[in-house]
Amino acid sequence: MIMIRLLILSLFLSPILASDKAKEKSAISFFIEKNKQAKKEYQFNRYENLISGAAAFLIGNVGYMASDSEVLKISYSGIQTIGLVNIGRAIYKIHSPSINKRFEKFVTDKKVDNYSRLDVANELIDIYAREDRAKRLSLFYSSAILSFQYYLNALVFDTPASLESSYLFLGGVNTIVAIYSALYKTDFEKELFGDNFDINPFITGNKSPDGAGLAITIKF
Amino acid sequence: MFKFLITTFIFVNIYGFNVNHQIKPGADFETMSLGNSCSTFVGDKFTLSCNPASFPYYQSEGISLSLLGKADGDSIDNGRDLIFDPITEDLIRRLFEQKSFNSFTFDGSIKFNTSMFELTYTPYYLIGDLYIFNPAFPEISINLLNRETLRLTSGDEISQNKWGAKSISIGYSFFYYSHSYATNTFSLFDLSSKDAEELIAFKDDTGFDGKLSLLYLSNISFIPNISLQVHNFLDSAKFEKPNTDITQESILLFERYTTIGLGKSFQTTYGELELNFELFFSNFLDEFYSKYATLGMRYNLNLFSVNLAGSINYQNIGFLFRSENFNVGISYAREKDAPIIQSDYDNSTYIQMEVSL
Repeated sequence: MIMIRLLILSLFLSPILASDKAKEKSAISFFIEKNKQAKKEYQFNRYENLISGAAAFLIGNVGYMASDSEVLKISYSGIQTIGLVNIGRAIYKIHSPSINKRFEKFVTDKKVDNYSRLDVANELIDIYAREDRAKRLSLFYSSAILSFQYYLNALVFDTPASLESSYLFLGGVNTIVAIYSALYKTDFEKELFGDNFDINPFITGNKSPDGAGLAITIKF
Repeated sequence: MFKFLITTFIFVNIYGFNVNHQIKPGADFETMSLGNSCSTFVGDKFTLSCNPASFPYYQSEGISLSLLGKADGDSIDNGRDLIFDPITEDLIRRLFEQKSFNSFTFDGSIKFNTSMFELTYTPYYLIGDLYIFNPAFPEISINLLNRETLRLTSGDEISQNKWGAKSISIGYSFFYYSHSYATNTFSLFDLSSKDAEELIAFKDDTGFDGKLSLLYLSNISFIPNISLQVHNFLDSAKFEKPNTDITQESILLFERYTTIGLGKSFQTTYGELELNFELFFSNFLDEFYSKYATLGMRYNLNLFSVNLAGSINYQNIGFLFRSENFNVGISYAREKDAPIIQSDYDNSTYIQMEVSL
């Protein structure tokens, strides 16, 4: 992350500081070229994380309830965990800004010749804040649902006594993580989105005028 | 019981019988749950253990640790007891009361992937097979093995856009092994008069062997992808057979054998469907093992895949769930590992846990 921040900072500052136009063009084309070369993870569709997560959650729970063997129960519990972690990952992907794309747009926008220091600072705050929010929401939802799942395994499902205490412990740890990630916001997040309680997964905070959504916030 | 008596009566005079294990050394969950019918699949990490010639089409870097074994089923507890507990008359009597054939296989591997090769260290590849026959005068045929392997796998693309092929590649996998094994047949009453260690004497062996493969990825819609592989081409592993009436021997595992795979894949926005039909031959295409021909099917959505395998003696459905660092696979199989002595199918559950760094 530090490397990405340094790279962005240096690339942002280079057009401002360099008086030489040739150098500026070369830096931009270098970045665009590198961006193109970057290995992209193949995706069948944008919902595959959610679909995979839901399948794991469903099969994990049905398998857990249907199996008698302790080894199988532990394996199905692993599948439940993977499913919920993947749902959290899907939430992260929906909210995370694509840093490379954002910067490419920033340096190739033909309407702007030069950015002021304020523009650069605003852009950086926007990227960092959205990234921090995406991570926080991902952690909150995966931990919250995981804690519910582990309590369910321990208290509702037919679970061997030797595993019950482990599930209660894991449920407790995930509850603490969920509460922490619901309440704690980084300074970048506070700067862009305010200090409100915000765990709404449907609001992306997109500035684009055609964006739509519903915000539910609580002000302390 | 009646079926068992008939089976025992018919086969008691057979000198040897073969046992097929779906988990091969260094295997992945997918390889096992596809019945080792996956040699034309490319673009995923597990394809390397199906066919080293798939190496040019998927390269990853990192370390992963995986444990794969039978976790539940008719014979799992018996097989596990056989390997990990002292072999006593009580244990054998208990096994005999439950089932005539028990089989257990386990593989634990560490894989180190680079852009140049894959290095696999398998500290434990365990086999425990036990056949109890002749109810009037119980006899036990036993086959135990613990193998340690260090394997280097890689491959290269040798041609593009020629002879109707999108690509043609070769693959090679060389390994050093060290194993200890025990194969013997003895009477239940021998256990009373002799030490178990005397009856089940382990022999050690070390050696070097490998796999060579060729993969043709077709560019023409009606021509399938084709693979040809020679497994254990040096045929270096030799097992001393005991001088007994009945001996059991693993098949399609340590001896030299050849496989031909025919396959096709279909990609949609809802995921990828892959099909492969694997044909097995002894030695260099000497004898066709029709009963081991297997159809493997895989539906893949990156983080979730469903694997199906079907052959005369092995039917399986497996689910694999992946996250960034942790994968869990679980599969349900209906199988006859030793069809000549098994009248009924065994129901088994296989599990894999894998951690990637």
